[in-house]
Amino acid sequence: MARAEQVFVLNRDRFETRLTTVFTQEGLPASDAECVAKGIVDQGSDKILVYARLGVQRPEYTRLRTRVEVACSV
Amino acid sequence: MKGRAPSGALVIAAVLIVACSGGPGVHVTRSAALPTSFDRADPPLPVVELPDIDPVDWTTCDDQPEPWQCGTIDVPLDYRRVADSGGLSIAVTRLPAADPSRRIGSLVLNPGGPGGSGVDLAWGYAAQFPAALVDRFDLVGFDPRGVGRSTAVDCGDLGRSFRVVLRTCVAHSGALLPYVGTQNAARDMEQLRKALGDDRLTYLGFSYGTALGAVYADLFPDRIRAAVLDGSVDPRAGEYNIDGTAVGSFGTPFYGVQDFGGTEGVFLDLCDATRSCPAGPDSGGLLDDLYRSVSDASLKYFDEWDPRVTASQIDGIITSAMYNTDLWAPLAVGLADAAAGDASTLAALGSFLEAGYPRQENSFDNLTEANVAIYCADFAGRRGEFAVDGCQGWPETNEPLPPITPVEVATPIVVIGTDGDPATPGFLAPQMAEALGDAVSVRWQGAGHTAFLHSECVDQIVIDYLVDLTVPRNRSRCGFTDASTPSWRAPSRSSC
Repeated sequence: MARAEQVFVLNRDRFETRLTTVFTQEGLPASDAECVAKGIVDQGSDKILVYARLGVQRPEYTRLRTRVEVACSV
Repeated sequence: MKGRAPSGALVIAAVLIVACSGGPGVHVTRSAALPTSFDRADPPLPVVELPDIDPVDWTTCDDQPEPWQCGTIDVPLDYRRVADSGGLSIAVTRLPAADPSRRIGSLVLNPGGPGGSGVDLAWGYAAQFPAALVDRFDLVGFDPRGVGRSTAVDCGDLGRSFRVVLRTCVAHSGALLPYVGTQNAARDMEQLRKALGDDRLTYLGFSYGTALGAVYADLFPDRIRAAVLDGSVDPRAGEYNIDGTAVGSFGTPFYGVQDFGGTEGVFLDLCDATRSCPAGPDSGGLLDDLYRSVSDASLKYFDEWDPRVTASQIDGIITSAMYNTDLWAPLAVGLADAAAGDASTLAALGSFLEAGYPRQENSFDNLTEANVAIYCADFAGRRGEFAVDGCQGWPETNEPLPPITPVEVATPIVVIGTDGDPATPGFLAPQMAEALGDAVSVRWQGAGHTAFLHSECVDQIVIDYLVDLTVPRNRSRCGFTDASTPSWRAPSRSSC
């Protein structure tokens, strides 16, 4: 079971780094991208992290992102 | 074998390469004067001696920050006719060792493919390399002949029919095509070693890069300091029976057998074994249902693909995702969403596999045409019923891929295999080690294409070997879960 969990549970530290890069490439300033990535990783489910990484504009992701961006004063 | 890591992949199943995150341009002067046609009457002269070569003239890279350096070396088109065959330009990049006082030399990388860019590999993956390697080695990537920023195969618009594409390849690059095979690429790597100023080569090759490394070892055994071959091809790939059929790959001329179905089975089994997999607990059944209904699933939250996903696109996405277990969680989410009627996530994963997210187009990427060209240079040229599919109308190869034969090297070569590797199954690693003779094999009980940077146990073996020349015991094994075990410590040489 341990190996299955290892494969299908996301490494959130690594996702925070990757999402910071993604949001920077999407056009956010680096400090904003860092704040938004942290907020999404802290509050989002694994599914939402996948949507963010792939750019899928599902409502559950866009709602969380809007909330986090407000908190980050983006 | 084209393999791919998370940052981008073509959704094609033929062959594969380890990770190439696209990076913009190394300036290359394509000064090579190629002959206008290939003379099929060329005599099979032996390559007696490689020519002298000047050191690389390093400059800053156009679009890569310092301390990265870029340069080129010039190599002959035909090593049998150095004086009059014309030349090719080979693009090189390096990241100087972070600790120059403890520098060992260069670590030359090849991502596989064939057709993968070593320049892109170095740029894309240097940040993930262990400090123990980055401190002690200059990381060196090069684009093999026919690839990317080197004198490259050009087949025009790949969107046309296969027949037209092949004809265009011959029209644009006909003089180059017979000479892009692995033996000439290995000679180029020897020229690169000399141009780098290293007495001996330290090499890390992935996937098809294991063929390049093994052929180099056969050609230049006394020039190897250390070589790691991760994701081994079939050492008998270049061997033929007396009736002309291929010995390896079930009689098909190819670099090795592949087992995407086996790796997909591992994916489905692991998915069903955990509640954290959104496509479980009956992922096989979910997949069956999905294939029947996917063309009706909407893509309302992803607008970069056509409004429908087809079954063949799903096949391609699953196949590509088998290369890297980092993609398995996103794949499971995509499959579950699609089965629930929304294929947006699956389409987004397909798009991501093609060009990353946000999309990054790499104008130097000629992976597809270089892949075909190198494959045909390694395997084409036999006639009649043994003619190779996909290389019809291609010039005869200058030198086909040779079988791998035993070598004597200063330090045994290390060959690594991954049990659940869809493209280069792990059982090929001990076969390659046995064929090379002076080599040992290491097996990782994991999944995905190649093991380095995916298993701490394998990483430590590679570090100890490349830095200290500590050779692991033959047929060592690394466990599947070692990478995430917090208490993990450096393994003994005998096991992990």
